[in-house]
Amino acid sequence: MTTMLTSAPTIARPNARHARTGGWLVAVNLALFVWLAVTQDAYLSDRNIQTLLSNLSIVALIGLAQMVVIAAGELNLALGAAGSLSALAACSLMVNVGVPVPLAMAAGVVTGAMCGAFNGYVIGQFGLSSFIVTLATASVFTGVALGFSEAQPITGLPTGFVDLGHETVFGVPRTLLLAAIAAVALAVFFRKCGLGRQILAYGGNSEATELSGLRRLDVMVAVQAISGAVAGWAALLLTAQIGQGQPDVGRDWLLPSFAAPIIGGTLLAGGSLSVTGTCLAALLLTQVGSAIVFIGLDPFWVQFVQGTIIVAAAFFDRTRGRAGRRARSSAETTPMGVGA
Amino acid sequence: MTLHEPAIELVRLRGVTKRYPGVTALDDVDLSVVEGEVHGLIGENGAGKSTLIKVLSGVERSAGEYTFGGEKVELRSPRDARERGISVLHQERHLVPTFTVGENVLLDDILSRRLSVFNKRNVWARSRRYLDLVGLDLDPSDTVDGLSSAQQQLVEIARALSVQARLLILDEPTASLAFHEAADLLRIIDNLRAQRVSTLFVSHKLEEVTEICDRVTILRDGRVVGEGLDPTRLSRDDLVTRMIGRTYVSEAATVRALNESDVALQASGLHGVGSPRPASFVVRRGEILGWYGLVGAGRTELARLIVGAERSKGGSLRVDGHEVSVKSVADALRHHGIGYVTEDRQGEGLFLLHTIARNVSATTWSRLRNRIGFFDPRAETRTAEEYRRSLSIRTPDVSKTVGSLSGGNKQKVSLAKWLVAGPRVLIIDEPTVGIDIATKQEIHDLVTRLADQGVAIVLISSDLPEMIGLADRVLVFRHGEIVADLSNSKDYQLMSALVMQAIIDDRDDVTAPVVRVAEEQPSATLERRASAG
Repeated sequence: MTTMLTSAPTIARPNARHARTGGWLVAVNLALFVWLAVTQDAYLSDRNIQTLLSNLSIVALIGLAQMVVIAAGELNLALGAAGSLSALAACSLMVNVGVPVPLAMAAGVVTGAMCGAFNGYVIGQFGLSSFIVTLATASVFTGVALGFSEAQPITGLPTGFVDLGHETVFGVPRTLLLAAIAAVALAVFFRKCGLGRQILAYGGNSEATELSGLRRLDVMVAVQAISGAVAGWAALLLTAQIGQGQPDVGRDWLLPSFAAPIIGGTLLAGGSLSVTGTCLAALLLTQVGSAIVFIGLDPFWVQFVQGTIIVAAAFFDRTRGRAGRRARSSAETTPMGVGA
Repeated sequence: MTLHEPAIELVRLRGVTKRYPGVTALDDVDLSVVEGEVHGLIGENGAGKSTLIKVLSGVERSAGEYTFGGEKVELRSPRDARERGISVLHQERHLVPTFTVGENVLLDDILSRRLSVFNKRNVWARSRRYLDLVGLDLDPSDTVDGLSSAQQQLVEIARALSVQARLLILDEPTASLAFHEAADLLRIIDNLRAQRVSTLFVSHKLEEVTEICDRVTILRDGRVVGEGLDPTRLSRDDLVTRMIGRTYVSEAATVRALNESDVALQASGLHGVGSPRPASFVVRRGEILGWYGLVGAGRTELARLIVGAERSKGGSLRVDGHEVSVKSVADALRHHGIGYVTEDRQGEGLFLLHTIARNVSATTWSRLRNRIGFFDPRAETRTAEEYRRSLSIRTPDVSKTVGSLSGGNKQKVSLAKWLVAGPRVLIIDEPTVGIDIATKQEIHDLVTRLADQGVAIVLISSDLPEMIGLADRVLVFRHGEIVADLSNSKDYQLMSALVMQAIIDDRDDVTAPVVRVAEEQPSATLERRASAG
């Protein structure tokens, strides 16, 4: 009885697709690296490599923070603002209250998670779009951060904290290692945890999973909270690198936060993500930024280049997502007649 | 097929009644499904089958008694139903396209274990058993993306079995399958008996029902007109007669006198990606041409092709005798006078958050400019007011948003929008789905009035009484092909039999009394044969 059914058509595996995206990203990164190393004397200097890797740790984290939300088919425009608020909370605790560094950092991450959980709750409970909610709360969080700090940076951070931003371990910046911990945690979470799989299932077909009793509210709270926590982590590391608590540290994060996951092969429609891809794309963005500085282009062109890359990546996303969309659109049948 | 005695009753409905405002969808329905049987549920569109499915699966609550597995139940949600072992396979697929076959099979398991460790290999291994049950020889680590619709359907059946389904409700499971795939599916359903799974098999295809079902229940107008019948003892004609045998003749069932008018729209061998079979037909000025067929028979696809929403891959389209190439929906309306009232009025047809006035004038913004080229909001309101009155759209004020209107009134706004635009050809897709009877009548009158004004109308409807009540001529679609061209005598008994015959005839050897109207023969040859109804 299986004869007719066994002739399955060739099947595109998403992991294969990611592997291809990954390969492409490795190649481009390598080419860019070699080109810059050959043409620019200072590119291989210790100092430059340190800067590159420090920047990478931040870009990768904010990309991952957005990736989590995209995986559920939603977005988070408030991640920069939530990050700023997290960093501010941690700095304030360290400087004004004298809370030990690790505890203050934990409080910072929790602040980010709470900002996100609030977003997720509003989105899920009232059936609102994540676009409008996070657009609004971005303004709310920024307002709180600026009002609370009176728009003044918090100085006099404990050396134990600032050192995190400058120390290296076997030549690798400590911030990169701290960022890697978050990346690995996320990879394991989405591969091994029940909740991680549920988020991906929801992103792949929200209707089917809701029919099976998965609540949108739960998914929204989970992804936004994780996103907020990761954004908070990024803001803390960046603050340690800068050496003072700026109340708007996450101001320019929106563009790279989308660029990294999209270039890295996370489907905009949801349901599929790649931690490795996002990190490789973050490396690409970092190198491009560095290249612009080295060849003497005005740094303002960074935004132009990032924007261009996002458009290109969105185009690739479309081709990549086409197979999935086809499956869905062929399943879309017209609603039936009354009571039929 | 005989049942093993003694049969244990799994489902028992007594006096189930479901009323929606203005409609009684289910009226005192009794149903009994025994363990391990395949029970057919048939009836026309609108007979109440999907409402019954909704009641059985916990989507809708109803009055009456519902016993499941010998226990009186009150289902509060689909999840509630699933926990008791009631699984529904909808016509649409509900798979997660980015997941593997194995994960989709065990999706309910994955969704119920939030805190446990997920092990892909373990999931794949466990899913194997259920894939075997439905005879799917697929690698569980494949993604469902590339599967055929038959395979996807089987993955969903495997998923239903994985949660220990005791009642499997299959809603038109073969609607989107090729003939041989359907045959395979039927064999698998047949084998489910051995698992003591009961199946409620809802289908329009009577051959399938007769072939596979142990017993059949027939619904008509929300009432059971035959409960637990033995299909082997009934001829197909008996079944059809019971399904359509109503004395109710649809409203305004008068044959319209048509003048020998010009052909407004003529398609010859038109085909596209969504509608691969070439279609040819004509519709004249003032004529209402009905397109009848099952869901997925290719009517909407053809309509989208005509209005330029899909790209044509061949064939020709003539409007008023001139060959045209329609580039887009805007082009269809602006340059060729072809309008399309979509079926999905929530999603495509209307701007729900805009005012009624703005919606009505949406197709003609360019015409509402005043002399110096500025958009004139007063002209907009004036036009909208006119249509509100003539269509009796029930709202105090055209500055209300469309989203606040009832379904029927939304549909009227949707139609008004096209009336303002003044098209030569208007394609109306499922105009009265989910609309109460009174409003339905008003919409029908409106369609007739439009035709009387000389607009050529293509009416797509799955509501047979509506089709027979409105259309001058009916084209029957099956599997993307026009299989019959029936001149409508508006005699419900005769017409419904002809249409059903054309739809369910999968075989070619049946000599159905199909009235073919030649393309060149004017439909005006119809006599005015008023059958007051």
